Amino acid sequence: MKNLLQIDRLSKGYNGTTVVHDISFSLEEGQILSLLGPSGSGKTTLLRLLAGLEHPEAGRLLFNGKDMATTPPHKRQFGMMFQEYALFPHKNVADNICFGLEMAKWSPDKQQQRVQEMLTLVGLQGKENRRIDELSGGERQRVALARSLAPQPRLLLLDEPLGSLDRVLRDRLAAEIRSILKNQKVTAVFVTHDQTEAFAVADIIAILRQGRLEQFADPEEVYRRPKTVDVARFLGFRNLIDCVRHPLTGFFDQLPAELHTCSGKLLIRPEGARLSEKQTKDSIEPQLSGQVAGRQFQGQVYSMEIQVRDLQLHFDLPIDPAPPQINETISLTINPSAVVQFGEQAG
Amino acid sequence: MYFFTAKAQRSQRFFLTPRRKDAKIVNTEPGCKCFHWYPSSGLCTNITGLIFFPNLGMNKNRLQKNQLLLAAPLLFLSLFYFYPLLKIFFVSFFPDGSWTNSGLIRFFSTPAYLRILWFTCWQAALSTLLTLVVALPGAYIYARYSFPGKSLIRVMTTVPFVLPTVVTAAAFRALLGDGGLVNTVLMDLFHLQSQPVHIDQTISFFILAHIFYNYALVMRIVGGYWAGLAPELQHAAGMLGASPRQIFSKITLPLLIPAIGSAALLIFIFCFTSFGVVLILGGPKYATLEVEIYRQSIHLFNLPMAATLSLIQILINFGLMWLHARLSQGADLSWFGSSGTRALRVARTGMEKIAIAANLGFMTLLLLTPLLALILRSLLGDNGWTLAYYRGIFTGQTDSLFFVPPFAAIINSVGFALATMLLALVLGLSAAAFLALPEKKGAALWDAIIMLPLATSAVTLGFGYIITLNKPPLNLRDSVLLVILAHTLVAFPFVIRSLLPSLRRIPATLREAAALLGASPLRIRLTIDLPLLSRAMLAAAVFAFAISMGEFGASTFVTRPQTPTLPVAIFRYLSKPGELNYGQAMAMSVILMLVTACAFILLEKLQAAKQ
Repeated sequence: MKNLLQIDRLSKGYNGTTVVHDISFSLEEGQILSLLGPSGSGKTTLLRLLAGLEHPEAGRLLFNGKDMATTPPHKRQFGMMFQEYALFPHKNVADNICFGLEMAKWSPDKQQQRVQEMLTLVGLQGKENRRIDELSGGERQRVALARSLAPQPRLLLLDEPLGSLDRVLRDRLAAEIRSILKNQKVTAVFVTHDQTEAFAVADIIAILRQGRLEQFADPEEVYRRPKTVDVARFLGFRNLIDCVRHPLTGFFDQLPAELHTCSGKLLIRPEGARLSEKQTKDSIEPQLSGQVAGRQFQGQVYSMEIQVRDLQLHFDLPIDPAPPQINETISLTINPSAVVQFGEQAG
Repeated sequence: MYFFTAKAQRSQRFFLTPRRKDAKIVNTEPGCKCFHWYPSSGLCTNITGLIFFPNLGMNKNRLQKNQLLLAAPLLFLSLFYFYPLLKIFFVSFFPDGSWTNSGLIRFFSTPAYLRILWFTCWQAALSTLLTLVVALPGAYIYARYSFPGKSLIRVMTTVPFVLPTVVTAAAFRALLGDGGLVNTVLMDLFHLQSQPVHIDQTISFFILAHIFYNYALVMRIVGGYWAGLAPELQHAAGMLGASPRQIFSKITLPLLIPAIGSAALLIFIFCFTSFGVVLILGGPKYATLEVEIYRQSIHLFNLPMAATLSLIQILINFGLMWLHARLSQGADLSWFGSSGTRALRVARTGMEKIAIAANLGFMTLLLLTPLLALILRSLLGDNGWTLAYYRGIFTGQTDSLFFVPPFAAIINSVGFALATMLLALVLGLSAAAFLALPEKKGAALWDAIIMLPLATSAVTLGFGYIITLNKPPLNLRDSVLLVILAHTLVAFPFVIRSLLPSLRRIPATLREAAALLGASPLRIRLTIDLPLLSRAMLAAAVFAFAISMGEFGASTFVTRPQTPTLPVAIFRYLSKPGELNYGQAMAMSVILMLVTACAFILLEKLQAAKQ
């Protein structure tokens, strides 16, 4: 595997505000990268920089080792799937899919064949003559995917491709997109603000915040070891404890030695706790006890709010054995691997 | 069409049973006898077939209130629009009380009339083509680039479109006519004995005026649509490998075609019904259908022929408007399209800068110089600068029996305009309130009925008025009311067009929330709709006022000699010989121009603030 796409210290700003700040990473052939971040994090701008729709102020973009600075979008042979799909309203399904093939001057026979192939791939056989405004949201999304895949792009860029669909459809299509991309062996960059979507589709996740790259790692690494407090917050983790001023002296003493040097913050992931069978002083694993402040059944887990002195922590507990009721005392055993420490930093 | 059998039920209600089992059963109050029901439009007609009762599938109270909303505008349209139109038909086919189609036969067998029809068509076609050619580059610049003074340009291009025809005619005379600025300057510079530019009283002169008029239309419709095209479409085509040229020919142009077609058709309609500029700038040699109707009825007093011509004019107009409505379906076009949200480009390369500068220069030359010439000419006497013409407006010396001082004409016009504004606003509000009702079937039909006056030329309206409203039961011949009614009819569709989008934009949930909080329907109208609508209402009022101030075609028929409107007075002064009359016509035109321009700058501001 070689590096197909290489980004080197890329920066872009508008009217004095920096939107993309000094970003570098590289992507191997066949990988799916997800650019994940809240709105305003610069992820869409970064994608447009890759596409050539925006021009960087500084930095380089290498594709196959070649600098793309002077290559206009239509000569890059990249595909792009737009947020609202940007399907051509005056063309039908087949003509939309065929557009890129005409531009690449495929022979009519091969065009026909490829369009059929694409329709089959996205499950729209028999709908080639439909007008765009006759399609449902999910169908439009499929046409857009087929259109961007048809000319066999060297790199596929997807801008919030599931953004305007409802939750159920999103979950289904996210998995489907991954299998289609993998099936076509396409290298892809995928913008989203939804972490479940990113986890479902990506091989690698790049987390952006205020135009900066916060973390670049595979999904499991991102979840297990968020690199900064901000990443942890963005992923929805709430148990962030100040290592210096905290009411959990006993608990901290039980933590592995390497965590004792912590001077910034400590994260306990919500799934890293289980009910202690019995509170024992000489247990190897760290213990926490407090009072149940909230108890919400959520199907696979109980979402628990636990008051430990003046600190409120949040854990997901298995539904069996059922956790104690509200206001009752609860004792939890914490898995040390669910504890992450962050260095000293602002935020 | 479905037929209902009506049978009396208890408490005198009519219970209507459809013969088709899939049709709805309709309950109505006594008095609303629903005999024919059109399921596609949700309309009921009563026995006479004249008054429509919309079936909205709501409860009876709502139904009746909604009917009330429509009652006043419908009555107005029936009396002052459909009745005169019908009368034109009768005058043409029953001139002596018995049926004859001799009028039509004479029209189609007289080469002179056919030549008029042909001339009307090709001058309109030529005007349309030329306008498109010069205005499309402007539309592109307007849609894609941001440059200093853009909002000023926006206003500048709109002013000609809304300028009264007499002002336009006067302005072009002042610039290029005999004794106009260009001729005077050239004669002075090169010591010529005769005037070098002979464009007055030719076709080129009024076609130039048509271009001047409709430039803004192309800029607004095509430019607005262009600016509103999602940039992603072009980007998507680019990412699929289309070069900028291919993007234009395969994506942008096909998407623009409806807008261009719509603009072209509208220009054609406007030029087809062009009256004032042809009459004044073309002179007696050239007659469009409109001018011929005017001549036949006012000068030759051949009412049956004028009626036949009007009928032909009305039919062609309706056909064109219908075509326009069909074409602009689907493509969301509005006359004054909103500007898009795309990021505008700033000119960087030399080519771009030259293109923008050339377009702006052309715009200025075409749109601004006639107006500047008008102002200069109104201040320029035989012996240099003078305010004599303006002073003359307020003093005025009597030299004829029908002399009316210009100042009186101004007062008349303002009075008419204020009355028109009030009447058009009241009628427009109730009609718009009806049209904006949610989920109404047959909205398109109602829309069409209410917008019909727009498709009727002012000259035909004026002609219809003088043959209709001159004897009991509606003897308004000597009443100033006639002018107000005619102006209201012309302004009415514009008022609705100003109100309706704002009214429709008020989310139904607001009204529902107010209702659930305990507000009665009337209170909802007063506390929710009215405040949210105030801006649109002000815009509609300004629109009606300005239209009335500048209306010329119908006014030539319905104004009495003693109480002319300002445009009619300008026309009279322009047709009279003499430097003083000419100068005073210019001065009055300047005043009228300033009034309408101010009104529309105000409108622009209102619309800009709304977004």
